[in-house]
Amino acid sequence: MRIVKVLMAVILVFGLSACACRTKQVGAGNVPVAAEGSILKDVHFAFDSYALDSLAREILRKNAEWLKAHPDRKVEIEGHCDERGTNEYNMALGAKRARAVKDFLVSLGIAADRMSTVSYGEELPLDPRHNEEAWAKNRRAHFKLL
Amino acid sequence: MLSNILCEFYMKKFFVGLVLTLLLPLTALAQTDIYIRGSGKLFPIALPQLCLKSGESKANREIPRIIAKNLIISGYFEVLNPEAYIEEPGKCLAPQDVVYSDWSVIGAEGLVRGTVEQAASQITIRLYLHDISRQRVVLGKEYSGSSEQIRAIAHKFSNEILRFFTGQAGVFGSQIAFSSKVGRFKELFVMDMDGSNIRQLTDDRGLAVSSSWHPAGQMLIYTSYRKRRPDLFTINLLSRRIQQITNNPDLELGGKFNKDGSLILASRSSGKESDIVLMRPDGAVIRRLTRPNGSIDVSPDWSPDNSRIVFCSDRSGGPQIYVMNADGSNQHRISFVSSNYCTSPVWSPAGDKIAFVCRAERGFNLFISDTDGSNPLQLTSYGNNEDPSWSPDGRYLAFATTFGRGSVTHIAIIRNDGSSLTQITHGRNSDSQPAWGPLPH
Repeated sequence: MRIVKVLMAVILVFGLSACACRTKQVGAGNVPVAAEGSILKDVHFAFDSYALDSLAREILRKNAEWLKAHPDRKVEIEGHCDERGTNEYNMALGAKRARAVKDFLVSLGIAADRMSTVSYGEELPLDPRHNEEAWAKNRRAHFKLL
Repeated sequence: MLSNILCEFYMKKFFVGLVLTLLLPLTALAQTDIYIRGSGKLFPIALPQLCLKSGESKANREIPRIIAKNLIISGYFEVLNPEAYIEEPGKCLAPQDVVYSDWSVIGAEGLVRGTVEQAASQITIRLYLHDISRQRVVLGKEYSGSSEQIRAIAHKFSNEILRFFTGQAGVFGSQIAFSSKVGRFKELFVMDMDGSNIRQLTDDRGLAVSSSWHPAGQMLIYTSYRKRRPDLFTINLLSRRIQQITNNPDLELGGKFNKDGSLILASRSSGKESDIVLMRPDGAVIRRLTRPNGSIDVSPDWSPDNSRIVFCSDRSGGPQIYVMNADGSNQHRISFVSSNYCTSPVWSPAGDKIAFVCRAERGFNLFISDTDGSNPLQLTSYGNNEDPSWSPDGRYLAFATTFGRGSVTHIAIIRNDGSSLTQITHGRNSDSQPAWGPLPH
C-alpha cells in the first residue's frame, strides 16, 4: 500500500513537471510580450532621443518610491523605440533609453545592482499601428519586475 | 529541412565537377559593347521552351523560366511574352536552322534556345544565345549533372548571358539571408537571390537580427536573444550548428567578418556607451575603435580591402555616416545630404561607393555616394526603404521596403543607379535586414 502511494506520488510529480515544462515551451519565448507597466509606470521619449523630460522624471520619482518601499524587488528596465528609423540604430537607442532611466533611478538612491537593462529596439511595439499616437506609446522604457 | 540542406551541400560539391564545355568560339565577345544598354532601354529577349531530345524531364520548361526571371531581375532585359512566339514551343531544331524572321517579327533581339537530354539520373543541357539581327549563335554552353542541378545550371547560364552583354558575370545562384517575423519572434531565413527556395534557419524564439555572412559563405554571424539577452552567435548553414560568440550583459550588434574571417567588427552597447569594437572570432575584444564619448556608434562595415571602416554615429546630434581607418584614426563624417537622420552604411565590393539610408521626403530612402560623401545619389523615393546590402558584384542592392504606405516590409533588389526595382519576397511577415551572400564557387 505504501509503495503504491509513493509510486502514485512519483507519477504525480513527474506528470506535473512534464506538463509544466510543455506549457512553458509552448507559451514562452525568449523575449517578453509587450505590455504596459501597471505597478511601475512606463516612461516615454521624443523621437531619436533618450532625454528624460519632466513628466518622465516625475513618473520615475514615483517608481523610485515604490522600489524603496520594496527593497527586496529587482527590476529589468527595457528600452524600446518606435518603428521609424533603422532596426540596428534603434537597438542601440533603446539601450541608451534603458540606461538613462537606470542612471536617474540610481541618482534617486536605488541600488544599481537591483536594476538590469535590456534593449528591444523597435522589435516589440506596444501599439502595432503606424501613426504618431502609436509611435509615442512605443518610444518607452518599461519595467519588468523580476 | 536538414536533408534539404545536406542535399544542397552535396549538390555544391558535385557542381564543381560539372562538365562545362564551350561549344562555340566566342568571336562575338569583342563586339559586346554594341549590346550594352543604359538603364532606360531594356534588351528584348525571347526564352522559349527547350527541346526535350530524350527521356522525361521538367527541365525543358523550368530552365527558360528560371533564366527569364533572372534576366528580369538583372534589370537589363525585357523578356518577351511566350504567347507571342511563332515557333512551336519546345521545337527541336539545330542552332543553325533557327528561323530568325520568326523572332525578329515579334521584336526579339536576343533568343535563348537549347536541348535537354535525360538518361537515368544524368541530365545534359545545351544552351545557345542567338543574336537575331546577325542571325547567329553568340554563346553556347553544355552542362551535365544530376536532375537536381537544373536550377544551378539555369543560374550558370544566366550569369554567362550577363557576362556576354555587360562584360561582367551575374550573381545568380547567390543567396540572401534575412530576418522575418514568426509569430511575435524574429527568426533568420535564407533564400536564393530570386526569392525562391526560402528556408528558416533559426528557431531561437526571440529576436534573430542583423545577420551577415562569413566570407566562405557557409556561416552567418547574427545577434540573437535566444538566451534572453542579446549576444552574437554564428550559425552554420549546412549543419545548422549555432555557436555563441559573446556572452555578457552588453548588447553586441551588427557583426561583420573581415575578408579572411579572422576578425569581427561589431557595435557594443555597454552602460552609457555604444562603440565600435574589433573582436577575435571567439568574441574576445581586441580593441575599441571609437571613443567613449556618450554617443551612439553602430552599424560598422569594412572597406573591401579592410583598411577602412564606415559606421553610423550620432556624435553630431542625429545619426550620420562616418568613415575611419581600421585602427580607429581619422574619424570623419561623410554624409552631408539634407537629412538629420542617416544610418546603415555598407561599403561597395569595388570599394568606390558607400550605400546608406537617410530620412528624406517623408520616408527613409536609400542613397549612394563616393566614399568621401561626394556625388550622393538618392535611389528610392517612395515609402520606407532600409537595410541596404550590396550584391557581390556591386551592381545591385538588396533592401527592406514597404513599397509605399504599407506597413509590411519585403525584400527588394534595385540597380545601383536606382533603376529596376524588383520585389523579391512577397510574404506578410515583414522581411527585413537582408544580407547578400558571396558568389557560390
